[in-house]
Amino acid sequence: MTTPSAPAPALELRGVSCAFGAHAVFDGIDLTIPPGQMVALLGPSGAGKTTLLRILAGTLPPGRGTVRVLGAELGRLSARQLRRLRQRVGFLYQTDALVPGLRTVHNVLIGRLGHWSLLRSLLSLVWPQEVERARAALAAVGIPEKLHAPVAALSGGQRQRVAIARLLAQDSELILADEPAAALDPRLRRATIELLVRLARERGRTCLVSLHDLELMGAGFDRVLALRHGRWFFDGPPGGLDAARIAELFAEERARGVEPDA
Amino acid sequence: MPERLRGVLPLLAVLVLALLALALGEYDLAPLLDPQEFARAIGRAATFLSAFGAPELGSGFLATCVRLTLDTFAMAMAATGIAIVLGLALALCTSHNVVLGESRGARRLVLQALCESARVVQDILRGVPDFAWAVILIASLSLGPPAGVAALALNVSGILARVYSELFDAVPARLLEPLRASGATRLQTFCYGVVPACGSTLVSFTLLRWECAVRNAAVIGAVNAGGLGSEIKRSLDYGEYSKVLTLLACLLLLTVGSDLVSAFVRGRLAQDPDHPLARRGGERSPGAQRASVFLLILVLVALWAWAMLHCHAAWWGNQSLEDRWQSTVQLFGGLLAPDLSLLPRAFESAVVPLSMAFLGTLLAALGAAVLAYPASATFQLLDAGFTGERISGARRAVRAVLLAAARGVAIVSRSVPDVFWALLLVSFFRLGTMPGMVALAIHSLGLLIRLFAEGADAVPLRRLEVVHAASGSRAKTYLYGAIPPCASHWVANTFFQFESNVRSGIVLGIVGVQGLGFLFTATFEWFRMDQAGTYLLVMVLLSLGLDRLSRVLGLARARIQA
Ligand SMILES: Nc1ncnc2c1ncn2[C@@H]1O[C@H](COP(=O)(O)OP(=O)(O)OP(=O)(O)O)[C@@H](O)[C@H]1O
Ligand SMILES: [Mg+2]
Repeated sequence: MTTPSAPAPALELRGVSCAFGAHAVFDGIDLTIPPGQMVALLGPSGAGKTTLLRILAGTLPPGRGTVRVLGAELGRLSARQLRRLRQRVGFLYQTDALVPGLRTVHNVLIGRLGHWSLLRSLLSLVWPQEVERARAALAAVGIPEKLHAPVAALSGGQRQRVAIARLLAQDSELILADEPAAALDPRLRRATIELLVRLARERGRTCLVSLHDLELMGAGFDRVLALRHGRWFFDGPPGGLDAARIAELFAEERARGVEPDA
Repeated sequence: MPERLRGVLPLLAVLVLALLALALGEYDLAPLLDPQEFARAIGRAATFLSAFGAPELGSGFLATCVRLTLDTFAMAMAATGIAIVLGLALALCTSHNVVLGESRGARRLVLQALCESARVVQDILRGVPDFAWAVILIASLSLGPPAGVAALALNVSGILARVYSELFDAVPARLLEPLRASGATRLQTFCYGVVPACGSTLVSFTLLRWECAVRNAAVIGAVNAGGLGSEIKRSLDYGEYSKVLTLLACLLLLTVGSDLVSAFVRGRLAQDPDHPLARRGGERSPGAQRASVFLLILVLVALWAWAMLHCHAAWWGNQSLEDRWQSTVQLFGGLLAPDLSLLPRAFESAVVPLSMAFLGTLLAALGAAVLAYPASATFQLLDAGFTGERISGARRAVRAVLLAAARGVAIVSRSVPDVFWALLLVSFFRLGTMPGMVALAIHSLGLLIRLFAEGADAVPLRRLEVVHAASGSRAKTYLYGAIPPCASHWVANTFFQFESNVRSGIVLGIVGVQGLGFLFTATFEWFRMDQAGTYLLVMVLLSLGLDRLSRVLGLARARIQA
């Protein structure tokens, strides 16, 4: 897939397998994502989207195969190197991204912890450090006025924006997001994903976002990957996934009645 | 920038209060600050400790020790049993959620007045420390375990009633509305709305109080209420230090044992089923579950009955019931007519226990916030669950040792009652407020480490994963991922510990010959009941004030974990 002259891929999987007990989620899959690409990851529930992202994040070691993130092979890294690498990768989670009991400013500044000493991290809880950076990140996601608000006072959409602001504060080269809008109101989902993709593109970052919802397809992605039964079902531009293929992708899920409104 | 001050102001407030407490408490810091004094203090402590020699292990004495240990255990058991029933009854009368319900108008006012007066009863029971109850009851009733049981039961029921009612009131109205809307009676609302919401916190808290009763049963023994305490005091007075050592070992066995039993039971109440520390294994059928709960209750009731009978034996001794009644009426008559001209002086004497409690609790909380990190299983052994890192066997072993050490420090420091810590520390600091304050700090440190570490261990791993991914450090994950969600819970527990330490500070006053506790005991022993009554009044007012403060601050809400 890659020619020798192309820049090193941001993400690369070679023959990756992963199983929970006897249940195999993936059996030898490959993937290459060049830097700066915006990629959507699609698939029915249980297809392995979360599992794939956890493997890329290094929180779940794969059974077989090699995983390269930002040029480094995960399996060969020491714990310290893995930590260094993770600071260059930003994660966005579906829920539980914010720490309750911490004000918004601190929740954004969690993105800076990797750059700070332990002492500075402790000091920041009392006297917030690099507040301007937090303010700028919140302004970029459109809620600068929430800088000192407690998390409990934020709406669901605002929380996800704070989580995105944290990614901006972190200055990561790569963003991995697992259904970042799934917990939101349908009308907010599109806006949140669009915001994430726009901000990532402006800053030239690579982005892999798992989605469950087809509505999100027009949000400005360069490429769509679809997973089914632990294999690639589709890999191409968003326009290439027509109604018939989509129906096929989600056929079993529909039949099982997994969808909330089924 | 006032917003930035938000993190600083509470710290400043605590610092100012701490300096104030330090100034007012008349602490003799010389043994810590002056190297020469320090050397002398170490010398004193060494002489004191070497006097203990080897423990006395003669089989006759060992049999006595076993009997005394059983006495103390039975006292605590019997008292806790009575206190649960009394406390529950009282809590039902003092909880707004239960008593007021949805009543309106005049009826509501009447009920509210009833509630408030029941709260005063609660404050009296709780505010007078068990030690002071024991002094009073031994003078009026009799010597020995029955008075000890009654003293403990009165104080513990006051404490339980307060915590229960605070918990009942902390159940948010939104959980009760659907029940009330569907026409549930007050009792039904209580059984189906209130109890399920705070049940496990309630049981867990009762167990902690039971542990505390075991320790206090040993302490109040020292005023001739029998059991280990009486014998330790006697042996100390006669200088039979080798016996003291054996008795202290028995005490430690008993308190550590109850600590472990309570930890086991509370562990089974753990709430998050996804957490690696939660109970594993198959689901049990509701029938089996009910049967095991029933069995447990049966065993507890049987234990309680045994304990009551055990303590009961001395009751029918040498005095007729009528005589006892007479002396009781006389004594309480005196106490209930306090000498109010003494009030200013009595309030002044409350400064010492307040100062000791504040500084001791503060030091303990700071220490516990640091030591809860090594004492947390999540951060030492199960961290792979949120870091995804595989660590070498050697590092695992080091962490396991660290964990065991932190927990060991915690269990030893909380298992030795604060009064005994104070007695040990007197040899180092000499008589005064310093040994009392440090004793409170050490004892509370052990209690708070456990509570803080339990809080940190209950934080969902997913949340820690988020913070660890960004920070790349376990310590920073602890600071930003574990402490903030626990903070309100920790503050509530610390405040509760402070309140309990104010009472202990009063008791320690007797050992340190300072402050409220000492003045009460002294005037009581001189039969100046009007004066003793004034000191009691101040004790009650103190606990009343602290209770209302805690209700206003809404601290109980934090105890019901979501
Ligand atoms: N910790 C685990 N232990 C055992 N099986 C697991 C575990 N995590 C995931 N699985 C299984 O792996 C498969 C893939 O799960 P995964 O969470 O990756 O799916 P997903 O595509 O993210 O689904 P969803 O859209 O519902 O989030 C599922 O069949 C799931 O049951
Ligand atoms: Mg998923």
